[in-house]
Amino acid sequence: MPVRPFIPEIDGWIIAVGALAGAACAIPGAWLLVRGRVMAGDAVTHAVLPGIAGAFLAFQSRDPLLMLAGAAVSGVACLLLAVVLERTLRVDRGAALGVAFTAFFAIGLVMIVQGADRVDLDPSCVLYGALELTPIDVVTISVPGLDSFTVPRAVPILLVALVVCGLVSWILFKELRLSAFDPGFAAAIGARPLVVDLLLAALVAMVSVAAFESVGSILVVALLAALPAGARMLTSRLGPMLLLGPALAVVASIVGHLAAIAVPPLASDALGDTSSAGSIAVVAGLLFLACALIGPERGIVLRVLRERRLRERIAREELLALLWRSQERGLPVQRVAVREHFQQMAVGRRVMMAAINALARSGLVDARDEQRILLTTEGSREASRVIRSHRLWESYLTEQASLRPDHVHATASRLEHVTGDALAAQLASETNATIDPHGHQIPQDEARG
Amino acid sequence: MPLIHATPATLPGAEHSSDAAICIHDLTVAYDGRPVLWDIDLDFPTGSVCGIVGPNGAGKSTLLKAILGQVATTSGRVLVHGASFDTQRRMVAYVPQRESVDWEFPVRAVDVVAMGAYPRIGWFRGVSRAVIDEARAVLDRVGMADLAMRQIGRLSGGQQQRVFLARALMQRAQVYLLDEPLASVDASTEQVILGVLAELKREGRTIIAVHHDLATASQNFDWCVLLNMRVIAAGATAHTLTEENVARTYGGRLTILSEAAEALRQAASRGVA
Repeated sequence: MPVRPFIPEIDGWIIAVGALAGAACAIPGAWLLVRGRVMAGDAVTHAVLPGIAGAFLAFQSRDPLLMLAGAAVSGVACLLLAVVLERTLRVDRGAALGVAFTAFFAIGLVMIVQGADRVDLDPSCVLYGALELTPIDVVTISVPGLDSFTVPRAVPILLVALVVCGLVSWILFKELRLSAFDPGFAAAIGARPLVVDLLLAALVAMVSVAAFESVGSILVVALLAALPAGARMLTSRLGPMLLLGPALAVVASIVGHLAAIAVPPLASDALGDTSSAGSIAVVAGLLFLACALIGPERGIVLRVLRERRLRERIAREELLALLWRSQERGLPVQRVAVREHFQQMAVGRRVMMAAINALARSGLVDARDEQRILLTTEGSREASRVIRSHRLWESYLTEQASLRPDHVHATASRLEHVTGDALAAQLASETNATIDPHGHQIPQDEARG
Repeated sequence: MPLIHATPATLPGAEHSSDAAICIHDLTVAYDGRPVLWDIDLDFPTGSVCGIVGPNGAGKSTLLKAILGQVATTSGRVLVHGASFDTQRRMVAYVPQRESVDWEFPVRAVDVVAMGAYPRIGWFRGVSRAVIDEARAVLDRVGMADLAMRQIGRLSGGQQQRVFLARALMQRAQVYLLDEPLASVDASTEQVILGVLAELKREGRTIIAVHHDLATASQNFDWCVLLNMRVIAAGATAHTLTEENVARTYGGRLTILSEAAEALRQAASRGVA
C-alpha cells in the first residue's frame, strides 16, 4: 500500500494551517475552560452554521467578513434563544443550550444541503473540514515595496483570527480574568461581566468561522477543549496557560498531519485519502492525556511518585519508632520482629528493605548484623522526634478531644508523620503533658535541649 | 407594595436620616413572582458594625445584592451616602460568599486581592507593580504575607475568606458589605476578620455583614437587623436582639406572609397576576 511522501510545499502549508487553526481556538478555549463554560463554546461553534450558510446563499461569496457577520448574527441569536428558553419556560440551562444549538446546527445543515446546487459548499467539508485542500485554494497578497506572496487563503484568515484573540486576551487580560473568576464581584465594581462574556462569545464565533473551512466545525470543538485542558494540566497560572495552548496546537498539527500521511490508508489505496484534521484532533486528545500524566501539579505520574515517597518516608519513621520503643524497653530488635511489624501495617517487603537500607546509608541505624538492627545515636535523636509527636498527639487527643486512651493510638500514628516542628511545639504548649496517656515518657525536644 | 406614597411633596427616601451610610426605602424584591424581600425600610448608620441576622431563606444575601443593584427590584430605592449606588459604586466594597467562586481557578492570592483595585486602574490597562505591592501589604494585614504567591486552590477555607476580605480592603471603600464572612472559618481567621472590622470602624467606615449565628451576633455587631422577608426589628443590638424579636424572626408567626408569597408565585406562574 502506498504511503505518500512528504511534499514540503503542500504538507508544510497543511501543517501551518492546522497549527494556526488550533492556536486560534486554544486562546478563547482557555478562557471558556477557566470559566467552566466549554460547552457554551461548543454551542456557539455549532450555532454559527446557519449564519455562514445564509451568507453563502445570499451573496454567493466566500468573503470572510460576510461569513463572520452571518455567524455573529446566528451565534448571538442562538445564545438569546437559550436564555429565553431558560428564563421563560424554566428549562434547565444545559437542556436549553442543547436544544438551541442543535436546532441551529441542523437548520444550517439543511440550508447547505438544499442550497448545494446553487453554491459550491460541501456539507462534509463543513463538518470535517478540508485541510488537505487548503494549499490549492490560494490568494495572492502583495506587500507594497516587496514581492507579492501566494499563500493558501486560510492562512491570512486564521492569522487575523489568532492575532485578534491574542490581542484581546492581552489588552483585556484583567477584565477577562475577573469576569471568569468572580462575575458577582465584577458586577459589583462595575466591570460589566456580561459585556466581557459577549466579547468572549464573539471571539469563539470568530475562530469557528475562521477555522471551519479547514478543520470543520466538529473538530473546532476538539481544539477548543482539548488544547487548553492540556495546558491547564501543565500550569496553574493563566498567562502561561494562554501561551501553552497554542504551543500544543503546533505540536498537534505537526504530529497529527505527519501521522495522517505516514499511516497507510486502511480501506483504499488512493493517494492523499487521509484525514489530517481528524488525525490532528486525535493527537490533541492524546496530548491532553500526556499532559494529564506528566503535569507538575495535577499530573498522575508525579502524584504516584509523591505518594510513593510519602509511603517510604512513613516506613522509615515507623522503623525508627519501632527501634526506639524497643530500646526504651531495653530490648534489641530482631529482624523477624521488624518484618512482623511491617506485615501488620500492610507494608510490602520491598518498601521495608528500602527503608532499612536508606536509614543504614544515612547512618541512622546499624544493620550490619544478620539478626538485629540497632539505632545509632543520631538515629535515636531522629526517632525521638517521631515518638515525641506521636505521644504529644495521644495526650492532646485524650485531653482536648476527650477521646479514650485506647482510641488514640491509630490516629496519632497517622498524624505523627505529618507533624512538623512548629506544630509539635504548638501541641506541646497546649498539652503541657510530659507523660502520654499510656504512662510513657514524652521525649523532650532535643533541638532546644 | 404600597401603591400610594405618603406625601407626594417629599421625595421617597428624603425622610430618612441624613447620616445613614445606606438608606433603603420601600424595597421589594421578587424571584419568579414570589417576594423574598417585602417593604424593606432601613437606615444603616454610618460608622457602625451592622449585622443582618435571620433564618435560612430570609433574604439576607438578597438584601446585599439589592444594595449592589444585582437583583431586579419590584419597587423601592437604595441610597449610598445620599446618592444612587451607580454613582457611588466606588464607595462600596463587597465580600461575596466563599462558595460563590471556583477556587481551582488558576490565579494567585495576590492577583485576587489586586482585583479590588481594578476600578482605580480602569479598562485596558495592566496591573502595575505598585498595585501588586499594595496587594501584598493588604495580605500582610490579614496575616497572609507569606502566602501571596500561592495558587488560591491551595489555601485553606479560612485563608480563602481572608483573601476575599483583603480584596475588599483594596477597594478603599466607605461601606463594606460582607456575605457570611465568619461562616465555617477557623478561630484565627475569625480573630483576624473581627480585628480588621474593628479597625475599619475606628476609621469611621460602615460595615454591614450577613450573619448566620444568632449566638455570636451580639458580640460582633453594635447594630442589628432581624430579617425574615421583612424587617422584624432594626437598631442598636441591645434593643434589637430581644427574646421576643428573635422569636418573631425565627418563629412561626410569619407563615401567613409566606403563604401569601406562595399564592403570589402560583398566580404569577398561572398568568393570573
